[in-house]
Amino acid sequence: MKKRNIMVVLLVFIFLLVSCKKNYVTQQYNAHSKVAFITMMQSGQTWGEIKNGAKIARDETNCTLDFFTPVKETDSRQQAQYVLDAIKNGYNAIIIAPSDERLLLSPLQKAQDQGIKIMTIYNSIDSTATMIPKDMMTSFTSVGTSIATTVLPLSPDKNIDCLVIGAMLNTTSAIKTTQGIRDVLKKQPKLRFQTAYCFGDSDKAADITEKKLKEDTDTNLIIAIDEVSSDGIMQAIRNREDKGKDLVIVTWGNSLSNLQGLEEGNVDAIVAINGYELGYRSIYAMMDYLEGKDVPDVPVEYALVTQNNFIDDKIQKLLFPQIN
Amino acid sequence: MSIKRKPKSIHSLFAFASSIISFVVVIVLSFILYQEFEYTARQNATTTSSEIITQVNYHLSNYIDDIMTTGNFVTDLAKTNDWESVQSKFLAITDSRHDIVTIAVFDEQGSLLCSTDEGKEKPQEQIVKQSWFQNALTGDNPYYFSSPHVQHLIPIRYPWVISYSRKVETEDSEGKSVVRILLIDMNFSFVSNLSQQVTLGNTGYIYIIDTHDNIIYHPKQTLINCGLFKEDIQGVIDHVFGTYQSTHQGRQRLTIIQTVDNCRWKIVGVAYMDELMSGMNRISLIIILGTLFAILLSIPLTRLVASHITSPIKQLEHEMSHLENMSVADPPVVKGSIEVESLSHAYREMVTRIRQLMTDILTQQELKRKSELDALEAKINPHFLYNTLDSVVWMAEQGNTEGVIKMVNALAKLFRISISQGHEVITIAEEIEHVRNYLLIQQMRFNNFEFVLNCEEDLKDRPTIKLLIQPLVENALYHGIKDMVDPGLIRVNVKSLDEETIQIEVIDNGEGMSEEQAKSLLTVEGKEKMGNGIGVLNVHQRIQLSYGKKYGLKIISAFDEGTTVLITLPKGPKCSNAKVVHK
Repeated sequence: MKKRNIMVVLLVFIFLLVSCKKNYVTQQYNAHSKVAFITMMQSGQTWGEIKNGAKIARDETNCTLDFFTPVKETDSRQQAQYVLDAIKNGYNAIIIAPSDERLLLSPLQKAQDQGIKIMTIYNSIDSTATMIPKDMMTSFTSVGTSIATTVLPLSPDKNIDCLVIGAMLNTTSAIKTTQGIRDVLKKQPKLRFQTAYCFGDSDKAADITEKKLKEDTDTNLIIAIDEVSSDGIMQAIRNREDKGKDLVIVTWGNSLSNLQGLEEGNVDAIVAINGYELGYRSIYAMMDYLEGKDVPDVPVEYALVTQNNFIDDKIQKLLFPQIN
Repeated sequence: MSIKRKPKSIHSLFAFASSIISFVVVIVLSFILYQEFEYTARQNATTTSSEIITQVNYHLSNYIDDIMTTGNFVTDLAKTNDWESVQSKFLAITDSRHDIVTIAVFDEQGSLLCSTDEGKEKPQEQIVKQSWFQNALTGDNPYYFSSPHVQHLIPIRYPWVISYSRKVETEDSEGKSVVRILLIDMNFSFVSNLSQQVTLGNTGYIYIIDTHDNIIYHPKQTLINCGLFKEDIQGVIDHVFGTYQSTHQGRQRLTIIQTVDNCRWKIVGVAYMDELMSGMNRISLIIILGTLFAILLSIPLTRLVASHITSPIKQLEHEMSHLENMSVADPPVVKGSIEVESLSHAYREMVTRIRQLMTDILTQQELKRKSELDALEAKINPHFLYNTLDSVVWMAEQGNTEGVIKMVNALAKLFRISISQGHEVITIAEEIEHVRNYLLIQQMRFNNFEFVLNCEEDLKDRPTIKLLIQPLVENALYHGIKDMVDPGLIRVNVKSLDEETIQIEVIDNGEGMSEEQAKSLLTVEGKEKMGNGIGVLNVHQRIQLSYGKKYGLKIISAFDEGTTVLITLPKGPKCSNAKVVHK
């Protein structure tokens, strides 16, 4: 018998044997993936939840995940430096919440040119830029629309004098949220719409609020579009006699001061974004991106929490995602 | 058109068949072995996981028993109306037990009657619409365990708890029947810790669902709350109790369900098969390598066995190939299996038998040939003897005593050589002497011819079959010279033609014959046609029978010129004569 025939028969038998072996599918990603996770600031409930979600996903995917965070969210240059460090230290991927949509373009472009996968969360980069990274974020325009839609029925009259306070000027979250609010409110017969930025300083946000309320007594709507601004607003209304009950106030994030304000009736609505989901999904999305799979564009969940829906099961889960 | 296949050797066929059988046996055994290992590993994993869940069940049952005992005690306290005393007892309980967050009693409208928590109470409408309140108030069961939830009794305090609540029917301080709702909030962390430390495999886990299939505890509760993970609750509902395997989110998993006795919660253990059976990968590798090794080993082994079994057959085949030319003496007995040895013995007997038959045939042919020769000789003798004796009688009547003596003496010598003690081969000298005696007798009878006999000295001791020359001389005498008027002459010359051939010339000067007649004398047809020349053809046949077709007679003759018969013989080695002449 020819040796070729023997080999064919042998291979057929081995194939049969191997095919008899049961394969238990293990959903594993490449454990050698090294991801740099660059957030905007160290403190803040939302950022803490984002990190917690990312850590859980890290444990499940077995990737290497390192967090890099500037002390202040205004420190875009430090974020840029983290990107350059990530390039130097051989990271496969960078997940970043850019604190400036333009300043970070250059280092991110450089990282992308080095073959590093880039994903932006929470904020994106300048949409006119040539590089288009993957992103994972809430639809902030919808958030803005929801805020305005929620607060309009709470306003005593149709004349709106609105102050929107944000922390950062050049962040897509701030730009889009403000745009969403403006798009709804501008339909009102009389609108005075003012935006101000505290640049990551809650005291400054408090000053802005107090000054606005002092100088413009017709002010009836104050909206914070980030946690730092919320802290400033809460700080400002605490000093008022009526604790802001005469105003419609919308704050940002599920901090205890916000929740207390809501329960006491000082705050009319809270914007709660599921930071845990954002952090968790961003890691899985990056793992898929690294393996060349499609990354679906699903916006991260958010909700407008009011006293009416505060104890709803769904809102509770959103406000208190960390069950243990 | 059919393709003619090249026949395969028995060795190849045997090796191929053995290899295939070996492969199949090895593969089947490996498959069975793998199945057995896999079954055992799965059974062990199931048993181990079940034991772990049984332990959790044991601890959880004890804890729930403890809570229910506390609940009974607190229920008795809630029936009283001395709230200051009750609160102090409640506080004593919560201070001593970190697993209990809050103990509180509400009236039917949701107003707080007594609580371990201090602070501004929530509005009644918010208390009443909570599930633990509603289920305790309107539910069929005497007590209710809630799903994990954030408790909202006191502002700015949001603990995750599992609530135990029950309706307490009693009388107020005025003796009126009232309904109160008792609430014991268990720290969810404590309940989860009972299960959290347990892992099945690397990433397996256990979770707990209540009687309404709501999740009480799940290690991925946060992910479930965010909609990032979906548990297969329906599978648990379908199977109720026991163990089953399923595929969930692309992974095969083993699910074990047990029920907690007092609260009828279900503890569900989830173990991932790829982790439980991780050892199978190594076993599979070993089995595959072992199988490969066994198969590779079986190839040379089967060839070796095939060689061992078929080599006697090949040896037998080799022996049989010699049968064609019978070049082997007795074939050896081939050692091997019983069948091969039996075949070998049969072959050996067959060869012996064939050899015997061939010997018999040769003997028979030899006898036949000898009988033919004897018959030829027999033809010569009576005829010649009659004539010779007739001449002796005639000389005796004439008183020629000397002639009688001479003729009888020559006759005696002639017959001695003819008899020659049965020898077929004699020396040329003896043959010449025989011819001489014959011619002497005939010369005395006819008295009209002379003869000359010449023989090279070196050829006298060479062998020849006997009575070759005498018939030719007889023919020369009777058909050539006898009727001649002039005296005839017969010459016999024996000489070497070359190193290997002897030529004997029998020459007469008789009447001679035509060339066609001369040629026809050496054929059977010619002999029948001519009616004479019996001796010539016989001599020619005897020479060719004895020495081959290369030798024999050649006749050269012409009318009135005489006849020359040339005899060619092989020059054999010198030998002693048959001692006929000397006698």
